[in-house]
Amino acid sequence: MLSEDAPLVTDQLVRGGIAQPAVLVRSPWRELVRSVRSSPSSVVGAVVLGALVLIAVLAPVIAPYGPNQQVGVPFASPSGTHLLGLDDGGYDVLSLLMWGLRVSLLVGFAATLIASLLGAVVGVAAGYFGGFVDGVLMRVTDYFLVIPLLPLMIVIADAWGASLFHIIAVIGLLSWTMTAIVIRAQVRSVRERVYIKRAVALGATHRRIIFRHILPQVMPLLVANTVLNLAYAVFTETALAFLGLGDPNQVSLGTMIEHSFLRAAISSGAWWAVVSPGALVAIAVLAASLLGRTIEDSLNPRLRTAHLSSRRFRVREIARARATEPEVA
Amino acid sequence: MALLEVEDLRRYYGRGRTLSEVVARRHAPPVRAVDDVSFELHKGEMLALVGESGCGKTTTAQTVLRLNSPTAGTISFAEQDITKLHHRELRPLRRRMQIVYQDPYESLNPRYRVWQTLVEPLEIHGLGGSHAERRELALEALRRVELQPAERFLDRYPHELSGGQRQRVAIAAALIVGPELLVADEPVSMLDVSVRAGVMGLLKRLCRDDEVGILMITHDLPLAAHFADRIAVMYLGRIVEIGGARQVLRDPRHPYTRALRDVAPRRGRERAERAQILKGEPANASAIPAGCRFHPRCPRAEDVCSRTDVGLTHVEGGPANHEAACLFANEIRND
Amino acid sequence: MTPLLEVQDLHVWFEDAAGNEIAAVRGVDLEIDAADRVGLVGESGCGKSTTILAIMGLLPSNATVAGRVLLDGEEILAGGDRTIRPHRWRDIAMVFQGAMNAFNPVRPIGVQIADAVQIRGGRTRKEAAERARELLELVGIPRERAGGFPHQFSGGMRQRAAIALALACEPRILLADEPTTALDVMVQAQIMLLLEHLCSEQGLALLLVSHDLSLVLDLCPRMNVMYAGEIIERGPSDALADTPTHPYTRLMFAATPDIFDESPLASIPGAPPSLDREIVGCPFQPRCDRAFERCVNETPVLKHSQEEQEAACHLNDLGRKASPDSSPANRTTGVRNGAA
Repeated sequence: MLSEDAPLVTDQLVRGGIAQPAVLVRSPWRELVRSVRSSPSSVVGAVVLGALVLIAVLAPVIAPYGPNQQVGVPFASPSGTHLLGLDDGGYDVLSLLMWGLRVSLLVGFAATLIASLLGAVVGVAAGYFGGFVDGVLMRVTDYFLVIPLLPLMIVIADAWGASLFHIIAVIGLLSWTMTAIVIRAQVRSVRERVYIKRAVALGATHRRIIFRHILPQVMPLLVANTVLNLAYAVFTETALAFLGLGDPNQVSLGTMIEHSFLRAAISSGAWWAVVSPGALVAIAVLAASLLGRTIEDSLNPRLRTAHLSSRRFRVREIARARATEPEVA
Repeated sequence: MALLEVEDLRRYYGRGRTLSEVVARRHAPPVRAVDDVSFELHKGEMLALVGESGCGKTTTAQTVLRLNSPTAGTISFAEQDITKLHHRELRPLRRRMQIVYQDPYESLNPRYRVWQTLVEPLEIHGLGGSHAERRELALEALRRVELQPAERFLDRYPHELSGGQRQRVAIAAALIVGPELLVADEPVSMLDVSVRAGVMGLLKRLCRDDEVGILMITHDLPLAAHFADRIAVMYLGRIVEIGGARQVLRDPRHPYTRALRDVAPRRGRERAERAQILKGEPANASAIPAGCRFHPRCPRAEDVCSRTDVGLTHVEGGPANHEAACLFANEIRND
Repeated sequence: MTPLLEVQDLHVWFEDAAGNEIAAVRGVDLEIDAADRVGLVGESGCGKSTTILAIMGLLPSNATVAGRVLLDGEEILAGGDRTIRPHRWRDIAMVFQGAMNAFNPVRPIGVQIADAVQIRGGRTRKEAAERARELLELVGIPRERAGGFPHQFSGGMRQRAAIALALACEPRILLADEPTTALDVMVQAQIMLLLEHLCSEQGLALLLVSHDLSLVLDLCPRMNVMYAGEIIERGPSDALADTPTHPYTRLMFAATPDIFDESPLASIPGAPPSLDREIVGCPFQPRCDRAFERCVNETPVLKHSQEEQEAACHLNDLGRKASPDSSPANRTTGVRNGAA
């Protein structure tokens, strides 16, 4: 009988040849939160990204002026009322930044949502079922992988016009492939775990195994991938808009740069119209990248390298404490 | 009729061809993991499949549970032929045949608490109506595997338990649906020595008291000797000897069984006196020797052994269920 | 005569990810003479592998060590890696459980052994290659296979090659940490036989670490039993098996199945104590079937119990036997099939 206070042991890693007690973290989610908190860069990334999202969401409330409100002379310098000056159309750059951020992030999140969903579905299906299904899905992935973004966007803009919807669709459809590949690899490895085989032997249906056992293990990686995809999506939207393929009816950070560029902001000396949106894009992408990278790193099974370090164990001096022989009763 | 009847079971794996084979247009010979295996398992009996790595014991167990499809032969479970059943038809049967795996550190989902692991089989098979009923069944299962006080274990995560405790949870999860057949794949080999007898004793009691038929896979002959009712010794995909546990070890009639028995360290007997340690290692399962598959390493092999593939035959002077696959089985009496 | 290797009051602490200090080895003494074969047995987490690693100076950076390791009477641990390094592989070599997997998969085995031979210096590449072939023969691998790659060798042969690797610099002591645990019984017997020959013919001293008591009993005339980071009994292996003077030793032998002994196997309920806090009293007391009041608060000291045995158990002070009956302890079981 196990007594009430028998100590519950922590795992001992003797199998690796090094008897070193280790505390196993039970949940990748906990690990995720912990890793984000542990690294300064990821904390910064998370905070900044959060702030940007907040700004974007609250833009209608906090922006000083509307996106279509002409308030002064084109390319007016920054002043007390207009902290970042006016752009080529006489609009307040600071307000436009907020409105533009809203659109950029909208495209970013929407495209990423599509990419992550598609990528997850394909990745899980390919990884779990293997065989023929895997073969077919991976070939499809390969085809999508090589479709060039720019020509496709040009063709679509030409055929159907460039709207937000089209941009979101194109970016989403071309960036799910990396997610699929990453998720597939993870699913393949999780599928080999013994407790999965046990579930199969128990008679669990595919659905149960995928949703109750595999997906929870895969989710955190998906989150990491999604954050990184976000960075990519925002940047890509900016690039497409800059090239004139953006939605002409919307203000995004990319279109701001495009307009400034086309209307010779630089030669007019109106650096604020170019640098501001550019800097904001860079900040957003950087924040998402920092966050995503850290999460991804924390989820990769780490090589146990403790024993490969240059054996700098410490030596301690202790008094040779020998208990004296107890008196024999 | 027996709980489990296996006849002429074969399970071959295709092996990808090497470049030279492709060029020479040769077929790669398959890996004959299980190569004509027949045995019975009865209710309330523990049969140990013993052998070294590569002998096919794990594959046999997996095939018998229909976790893969046999290449040939038949498997009957509770008088039903399950050899060719589709996996959808097999699902309801899975409740009656369960498996416990070797690795207690891997066989429980690390993110499931103990009660979740225990309740899952109930959910899968629609047993126990309400949550409260299922919880009660889980507590009952924990008591059966002697994890007391049961309530304290329900909320634990696997990493908070020792190896022995985890294995007991795995056994509880297998038992909770009330199976008739349990396959135990090296159930204690990854546990500390001091804990093994406890877990094996538990399995033995389940066998006796609940009449569960247990097929135990192990490489540990002394362990099998202590707990199994019958032992089947496997070599390169075949059973080379089978019979009552004590009987087979007291009077082994196949040179391989004898070698396995004698090689175990034993008190009071100098190593030099022991029957020879076999040289080399078992052949590859895709290149099984012709004739008796053991003959290249057999200390008693003669010419005829390289030409004759021997099947299991009843040994003279032994009980009816003692069989050995050796031409000289009746000359290898105990010394 | 000075023992070849002496370990005095060895302590090893690890700092885990959460910053706790775990005392994996808590005061271990060992003595190994030349050509001696000594066993160190215990279960997972008892500290036996850590002890070996400490002797070799192979502890990771989150480890702290205290105590003395003396080779030929000369202290080698105090300076850390700096003082141990010259002796590693030249005087003390190691074979461990995963050694068969420790070979570089893209280089031939013979070349890797030749590399090790050259650690000692003084040989040309050709001489080293020849010596590598000799070593392979010594461990029972035909010389022609020296050019083979690790994946072309079976598990047993790779483990032999790992032993050859350990012998490359002609060490005087071999530390073997579960050298055969991952191998089949037949191969295990082959390797044990090999180790026996190597010891008797090359004058090699052996410290064999294992959880398998029967294996150690077979090969080593002397044995140390470890529990919770300390040695709780030691002496001649036969004596420990027949007349143990510590309940843990008795129970461990009783839990090890023997084909020819039909008496029921013992098991020990509970689990070893947590090593991240101070242990009060006897570490085995919570699981011991012979514990009494004194065991709870007073830590027993390893000292002479009978004949050539030493044990850390209060029972010996009182002249009580480590086994429940008064008859000599053999396979009488302490506790039957407790939950563990």
